[in-house]
Amino acid sequence: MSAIPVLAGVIIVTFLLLRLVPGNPAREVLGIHASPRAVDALTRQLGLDQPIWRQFWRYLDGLFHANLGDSIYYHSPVVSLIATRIGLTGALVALASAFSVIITVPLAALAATHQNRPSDHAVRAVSLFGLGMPTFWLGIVLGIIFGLRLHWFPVGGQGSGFWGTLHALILPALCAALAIAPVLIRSLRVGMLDVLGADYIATARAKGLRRWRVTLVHVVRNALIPSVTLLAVNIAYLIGGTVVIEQVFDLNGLGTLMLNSIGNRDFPVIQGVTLVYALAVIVVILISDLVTARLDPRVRLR
Amino acid sequence: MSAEAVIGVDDAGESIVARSSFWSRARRSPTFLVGGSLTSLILLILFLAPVLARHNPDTLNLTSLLSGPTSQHWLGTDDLGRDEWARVLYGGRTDIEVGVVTVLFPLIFGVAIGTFIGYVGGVVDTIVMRVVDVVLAFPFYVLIIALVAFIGAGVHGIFLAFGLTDWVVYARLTRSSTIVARHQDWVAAAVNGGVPRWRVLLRHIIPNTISQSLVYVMSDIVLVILAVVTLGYLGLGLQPPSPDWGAMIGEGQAYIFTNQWQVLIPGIALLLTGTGFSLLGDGLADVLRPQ
Amino acid sequence: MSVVSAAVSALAVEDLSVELPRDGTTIRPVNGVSFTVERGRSLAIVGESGSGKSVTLRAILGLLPKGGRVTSGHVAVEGRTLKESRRNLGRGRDAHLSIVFQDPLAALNPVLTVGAQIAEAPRFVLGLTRRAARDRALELLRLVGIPDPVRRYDAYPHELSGGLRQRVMIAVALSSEPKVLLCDEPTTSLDVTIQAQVLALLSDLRRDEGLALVFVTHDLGVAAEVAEDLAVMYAGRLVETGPVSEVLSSPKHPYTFGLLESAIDVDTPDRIPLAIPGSLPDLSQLPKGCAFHPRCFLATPECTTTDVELRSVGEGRASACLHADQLTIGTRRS
Repeated sequence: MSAIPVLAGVIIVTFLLLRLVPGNPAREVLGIHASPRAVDALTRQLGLDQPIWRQFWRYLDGLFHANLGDSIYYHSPVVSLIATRIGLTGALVALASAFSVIITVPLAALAATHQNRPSDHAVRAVSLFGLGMPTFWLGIVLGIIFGLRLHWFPVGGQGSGFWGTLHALILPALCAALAIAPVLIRSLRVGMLDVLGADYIATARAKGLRRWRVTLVHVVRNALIPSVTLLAVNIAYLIGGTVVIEQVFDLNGLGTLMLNSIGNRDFPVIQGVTLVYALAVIVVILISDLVTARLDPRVRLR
Repeated sequence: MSAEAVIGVDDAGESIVARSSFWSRARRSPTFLVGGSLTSLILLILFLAPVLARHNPDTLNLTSLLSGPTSQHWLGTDDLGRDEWARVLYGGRTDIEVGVVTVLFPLIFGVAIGTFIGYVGGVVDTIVMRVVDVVLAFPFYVLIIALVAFIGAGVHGIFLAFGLTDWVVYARLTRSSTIVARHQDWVAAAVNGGVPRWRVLLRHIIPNTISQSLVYVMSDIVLVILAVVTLGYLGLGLQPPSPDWGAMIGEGQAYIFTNQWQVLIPGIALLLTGTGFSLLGDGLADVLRPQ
Repeated sequence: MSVVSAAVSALAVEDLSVELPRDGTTIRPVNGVSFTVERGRSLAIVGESGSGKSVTLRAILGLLPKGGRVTSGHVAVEGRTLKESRRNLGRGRDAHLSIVFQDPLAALNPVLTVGAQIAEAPRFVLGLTRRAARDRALELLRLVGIPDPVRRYDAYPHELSGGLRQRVMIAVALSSEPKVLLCDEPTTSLDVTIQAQVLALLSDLRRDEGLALVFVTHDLGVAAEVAEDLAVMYAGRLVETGPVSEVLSSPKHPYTFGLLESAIDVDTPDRIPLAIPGSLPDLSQLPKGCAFHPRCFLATPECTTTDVELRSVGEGRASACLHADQLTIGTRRS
């Protein structure tokens, strides 16, 4: 499958990120006042004095052993830094995905089945409006309304304990879901319209079947196929959005780790986190491909 | 760009044809009109910023910090006493300017490479499409942030980051329509008739395949502006003292417990701008759609 | 109002008109169309693309695209008028109408097996048990001439060849036990040999099951082969009707004449076909009077002002041309 070259490409790109730094990366990390000796030491530690193919080999070798290098700032393995934070980010993504399905699917279905009626226009207008809204601003506004004014949710932080954390994640997850809702609703609606207008739906109705059966067995079953792919693509985008959302809501997840590391010039961490994010996307797409194959007999391998 | 429709036959048996031009179709599309007017209005206001802003966006007015709207400061002041109205105007200028300029390279490069691989196919096509897949495998914001982190914050970081990543959509779009166009009979006819291939590409294929990219450019501008603003919020975008909506929101976040205006105002401005461009893009799609 | 006559037609369409919104205005793809089909007989509706023939079928079934609506007329199946509401027209337990579409790949649900789709109506509309419905489906597969029906039952539409798919679609159409079978260009996308087989199948079904057949096509040859009666449609109106052999050998409308002249005749291969000058009118801007007059060689000033209706021009024949009597060309071989 095409996932393998993509995976290879992702690994190569992440490796190359470090080479984008103008000048000497070690010097960038330590600052302009650093002594040449410190710079040399760090250069050797990062392996930057080696020829590039050996650096790449070392990188690959590390990957096979689940070793993403060491953080310059925290002085601990990147992998362990990621491990402590990935749970929170994962929970955020899962919750946000659930919210996006709950929000977008009914709205898209409403718009598609009532095409050109007021409810369709309303849904499309709202989603158009949402296209111009930056996620982080939406998060702040939600925090103001539901946190500051209504006191329903904490304005920031991740709470404590299972339920506390879940409670604290609701607003950020809602924000992430709303951020992708406009695009998702539009695409889902188009997919559903395609199915609704298909000849086989006409055939089914001509048979004399009850409306609910036509809808469930014929419309939904077919509309699921493009929808699963669309959801997967948008969840990929959502994963990227969580980086910013964690910052807005002060959540100690992977995104915050990444952003803090930018300030710290902690390149190994940034590299490692980027790779993890890309891997997550690849996994999501793979899963959706598998699900699509289950749903669509035309796609299955003979 | 025009479309013809046969509306009847005259006495000599000749078909009577109505040519609907771009502008007549544009006039009939409400989305295009609303989007166009809104966007034009916003651009006009920002263009007239030096005239409309009554204060300099950088001047500090330490006697009036974080105030709400007053007669002196129409939209109030921020935490350093700077006039919000002026900052919104000048911030808008920079953000939109950067947004529009940043999409130019991806647009041109993406369309060019998409046309090339769509027309030529083969190994080059496969390789480029793999590269596209790899770029798309990274979540958008993660890649942009990572690139800016390594290249360096500021305008040039933004240009490079988007230059490296944003072209892929245009390449994909153009490639598909080029492949479709390439197989059309009229192309074969032109090539057989002796028209050199580059000319076929330029004069015949590209005008037909570029419409999808032009429609997408509008939403891409919105995307880029949003990304620039987001980077500004994170401190990775346009560096101070350039006023930037994102930085304004970021600075204001610390004060939301007392004054929410500093956070809300730039957001609303951004919302209006985004809606304007999106509507314009939708309208453009309506108008350019083959009849 | 239902019309009860001594010999009840299988299908009676009276003054059917349909309006569709398009590009900001409304067009009438079907304008005052009336025809009847008796049990066991077949009618072919012939016209170029855009004449409104497919919309007529969909209107009869209540399957118009979004925004379209029936603005006048009614449809009666075996004497019982079908209500125009989308819910009832042609469906429910009294679903006596079925339709066969042009593209079976698009008209069959891609995620369900062929057998499941044929068994669906017997099971959920006619109330058979699962086992009985499956048996009925196998029976129908055999009836439409599909070899090895038990194996094919579990196949998916995309796994079958074009000809088999079309037979499956016919089986699906028959599964709801219709009295009238509407066919929308069912053979247009098929190979000539398969076409002949499918047409033969339809003729057999008409004879053996007593089905009434309404066949929409743009191909006069196909119409000649499968139908007994012919109706010619132009710009939403019927312009000529009558028994198929008579209409094709001595047409009574210039448009029919034009269609015949522009068709390639295998018996006289040296004859150069004559195209009808001009092109189809834009339905949003129809010429006044007879819609065909701008392209008609018999047109007179009268044709531009009078709204022409179908009038009887002989035994069982009707034409909407003011100058039908001028079309005595002699016998043409059909």
